[in-house]
Amino acid sequence: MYRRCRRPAAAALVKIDDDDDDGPPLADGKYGVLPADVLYDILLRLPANHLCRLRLVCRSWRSLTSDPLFAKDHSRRRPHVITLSQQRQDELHVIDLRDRIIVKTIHIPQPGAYLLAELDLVCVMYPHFVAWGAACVLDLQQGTGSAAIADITVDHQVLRSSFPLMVPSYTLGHVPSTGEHKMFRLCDVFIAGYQAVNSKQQICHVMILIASTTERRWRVTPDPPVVLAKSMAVVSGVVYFLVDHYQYCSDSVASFDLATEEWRSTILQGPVQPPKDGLRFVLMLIELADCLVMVHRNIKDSITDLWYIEDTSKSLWTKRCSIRWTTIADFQSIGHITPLMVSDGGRIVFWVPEKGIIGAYDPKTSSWINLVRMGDYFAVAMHQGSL
Amino acid sequence: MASAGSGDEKAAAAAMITLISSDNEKFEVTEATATLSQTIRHMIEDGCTDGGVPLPNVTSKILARVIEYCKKHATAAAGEEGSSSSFSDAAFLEVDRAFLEELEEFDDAFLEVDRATLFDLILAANYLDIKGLLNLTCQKVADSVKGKTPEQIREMYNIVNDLTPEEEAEIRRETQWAFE
Repeated sequence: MYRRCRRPAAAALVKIDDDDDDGPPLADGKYGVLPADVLYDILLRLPANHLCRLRLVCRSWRSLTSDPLFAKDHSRRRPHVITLSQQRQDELHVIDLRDRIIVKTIHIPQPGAYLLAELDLVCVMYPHFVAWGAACVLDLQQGTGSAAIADITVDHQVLRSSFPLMVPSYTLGHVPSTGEHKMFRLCDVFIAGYQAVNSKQQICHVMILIASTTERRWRVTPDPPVVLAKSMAVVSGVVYFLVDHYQYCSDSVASFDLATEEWRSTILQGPVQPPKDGLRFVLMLIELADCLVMVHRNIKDSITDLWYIEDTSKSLWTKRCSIRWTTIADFQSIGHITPLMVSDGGRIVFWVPEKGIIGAYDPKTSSWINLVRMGDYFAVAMHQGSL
Repeated sequence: MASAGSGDEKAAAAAMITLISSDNEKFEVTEATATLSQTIRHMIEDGCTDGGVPLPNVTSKILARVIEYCKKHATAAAGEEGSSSSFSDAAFLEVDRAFLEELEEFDDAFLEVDRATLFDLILAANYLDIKGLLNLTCQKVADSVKGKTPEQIREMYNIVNDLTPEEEAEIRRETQWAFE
């Protein structure tokens, strides 16, 4: 009889009756109760703005939809992007890619040029003609009005008056152990028109971002161990940087611990050997599905390889995806094609700024699908924060 | 005894499985139909289906509907296997597409049930682990919730509002943007 089966079938059978204690009920009385995992599945199918309204149904629906794990699953299944458009320069839009609707609009102090996002925080960097090298940080949870929690414009002017600086690069990171959000800034010191050639010519700052106050203070970090390139990615509270070898790019990776605010002693070896001339060859670091990924773009042959780090202590990388753009899509240039996220089906979602398209590549079938035409939206970042 | 055995002549010779509902009705189905359920598939793999498979959570009314779904979709699954092993010329693909449309129509008609039946189908699909059916029925509930006010949902699904007025005000503040 099936009761002797080793599979958990019989247990699952009983579970439905027993489940109503540990899961939020969708209904009771005459319709019976849906198991918690089924309710979870149903709610995952709803757009963010609907879900937020549903928090008013009852306590259990509220706690389920406010859970960070739920938010993460939801964003994999129903990706949201944060965007800047030409048309509405004073606004930042959060767009649901599946339904192609704007689910949230947030006022920004000045027109932005680039975006960075980390959970609920967004850093909007201003173009140089608005405010040179400056930025502001917004908290998407603060509603639609004044969501700015840090305006970097003033800080930057102070910094710039004491050092001759190149345009800084910023990144945002979350420290899992303390729950703090930190902002990291990397500046080259301007030396007679040349870029930094040793690490003494770079200055790094770090700052804790606190949502409830506007109080903030940049702290100078110890000197970086090597010269850093401006490609940064944050994974689990560690900022990773490509090492900048003067005049040619390198695949080595330096790292900074946001929790201790110290440089890590080891330099990771990269998986690709960059050619000495470095021509038509681009490396970039990104975070995909909580993993550090090195994106290697071979522009000459129109190939993008994604190398995932498997073991940071051994500098072990695996090429999990290699895309030959010429065989799947008519892309004239692959220069700025940027991976955004990995969907729940394992597809990699890309932003193609030249075409204004967000599309997905399926590594299993080596096929490409256009998801959304972004119109006049020119800057896109993934939203993986709460709903 | 309601027999819901396969009408397919070729499949008649294939292994048959007997499913027994909570009210003790027996349903004879082909293995291809039954194995759309991962739960039953595992039982078959373990050789635990002799003498029938008792399903004490599923009534005969619901089981009959689940089997109706599985029979239709088992044919679809068989079609897919066929297409991958044969040369797929344009005509074949055309037929395939027509069949997929037919399947979609079947699914739409299948979901024309009252809320209580829909819930019972979800519970059965969840217990029997039939992915397609669970997906279909969950989407139906999600669509029914979409665009409804919290009050309407509470009424639809008999949910008691256990939030205090203070908590309600707090939620409204937090999610103000969603109400605009």
